Amino acid sequence: MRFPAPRARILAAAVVLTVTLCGLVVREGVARAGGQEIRLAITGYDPRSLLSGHYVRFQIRGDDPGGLACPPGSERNAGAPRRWVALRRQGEAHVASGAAGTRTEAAALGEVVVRGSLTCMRVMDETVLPDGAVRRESVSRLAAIDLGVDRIHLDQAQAQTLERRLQGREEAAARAFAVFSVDAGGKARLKGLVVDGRRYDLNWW
Amino acid sequence: MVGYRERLERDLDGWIAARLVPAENRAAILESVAEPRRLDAASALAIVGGLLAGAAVIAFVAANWSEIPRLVRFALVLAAFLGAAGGAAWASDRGRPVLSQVLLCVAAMVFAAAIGLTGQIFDIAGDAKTALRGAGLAAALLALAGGSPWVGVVALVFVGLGDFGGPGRGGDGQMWPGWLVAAAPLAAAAALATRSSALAHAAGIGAFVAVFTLQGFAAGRTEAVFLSAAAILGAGAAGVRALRLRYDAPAGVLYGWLTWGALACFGVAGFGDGLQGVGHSAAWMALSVAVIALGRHDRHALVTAAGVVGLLAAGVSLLHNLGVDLMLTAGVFGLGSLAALAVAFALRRRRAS
Repeated sequence: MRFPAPRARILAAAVVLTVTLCGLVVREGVARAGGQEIRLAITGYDPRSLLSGHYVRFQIRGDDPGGLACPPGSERNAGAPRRWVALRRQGEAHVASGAAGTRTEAAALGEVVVRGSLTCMRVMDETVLPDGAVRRESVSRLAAIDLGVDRIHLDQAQAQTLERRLQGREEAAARAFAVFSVDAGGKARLKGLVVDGRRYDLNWW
Repeated sequence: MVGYRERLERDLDGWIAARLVPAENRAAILESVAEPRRLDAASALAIVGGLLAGAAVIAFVAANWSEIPRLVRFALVLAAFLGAAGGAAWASDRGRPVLSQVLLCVAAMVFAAAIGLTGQIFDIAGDAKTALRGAGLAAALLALAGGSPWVGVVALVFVGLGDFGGPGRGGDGQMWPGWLVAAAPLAAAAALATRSSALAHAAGIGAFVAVFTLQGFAAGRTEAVFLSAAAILGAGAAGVRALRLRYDAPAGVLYGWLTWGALACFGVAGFGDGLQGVGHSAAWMALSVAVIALGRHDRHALVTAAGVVGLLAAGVSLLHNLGVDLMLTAGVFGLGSLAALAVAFALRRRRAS
């Protein structure tokens, strides 16, 4: 058997690699369009500003103004790699309702299950008792939800618009959401952001 | 700087004057030495112009990157890759192997950048480990297609970066050995097959680096991992040493780096609790001395250097294990120097007789 000449082999390899890369883009686009849509509250990624350059870097909010305790499964899950996170709808967005090692276990904890992890941290909770004494106890609070996505690339004009809307406004930060598409395999793909009620979607252009 | 031809002309005149070479052979000898290709001013300016034009295009695209539609950006990235690969194919067809290899290396690196840029352009999330390993596989495919060992080096570098980049655990939470464990021996075989010293350097270093990807996989068994690695690398060094006559330079390069790896792994094994002690340090020193002798016997500078560095490191390890005492240090070094002088004297006596 004769092998093709190096020129033909190189061109064939280049075409295979190009088609692979194009296939990846198309597959991601199809999966993003076809998945179940969820919204999760986000906040800026400290110590950086929410906006840096032409991308928005964010962290999915785990902290809750009401002091949400760690959902089931999240404490032993802290710092672990990819696990399953259960989400339930609360108002216009979803919130974490638990985490588990398997998809089946997580499905019992919420309406939507997605690959990711919850991170909790221990904080000191202070309670003033009727006699004036202060009781301190260590409690676990949900700190962050990691779905493997922490940024969205936007063009300069969109990025600057978002910066103006969000800079120095705590209430605006509280109204920012990341919109994800969750496919049948539980993988979350970013679809866009919602800031102050206005949606910024990823598109082909 | 005087070139070979100029030196030869000068030497020839001397040899003719000393009647070592017949004067009538002078012209024939000089004609047999090809003049090195010289870059004329026009070609040099053309190259500089081409580079500046390339830099201008890159700067222009970078300045307008966010204003360019996503699909056009993606097309630009693919065009850069296909341009480099197409250029490599053209150069290969024209019988210019060096240019073909260089352009294939550029294509492999552009493809690695394309993976990252595609993720950025279309906001596709992924971990660095997968991206780097993907770039390594793509470079390996290009290396195979073009029969290019230089691109094999690029592939090995990306695979190695992938082993140490991103999360250490796989998606299932398990720690797995790095891909270098398989890639380095394959690259070593390819280096011998293609007679490539460059790939032999990368494979030899990669084989040693691969050992460190086993640490998480075999946590708590440091001695076993590094002693086994030392034995395997040592066996590999012995194997390629035997192949030096057949495979020449690449086998020699592999022999050197595998010896370095074997000796270093033996030394690192001493960091495990089970092997710490004077016995390990003494064995390390003895092995280092044997490697120095082997390197001198084979006239192999890399092997000799491995032995010298190993000896110094083993000496420090020995002193550490004995406890830092200046009188003891003086005694150890004094005894060592006496032993070395005695062996050297005996060798010289034997050679003289």
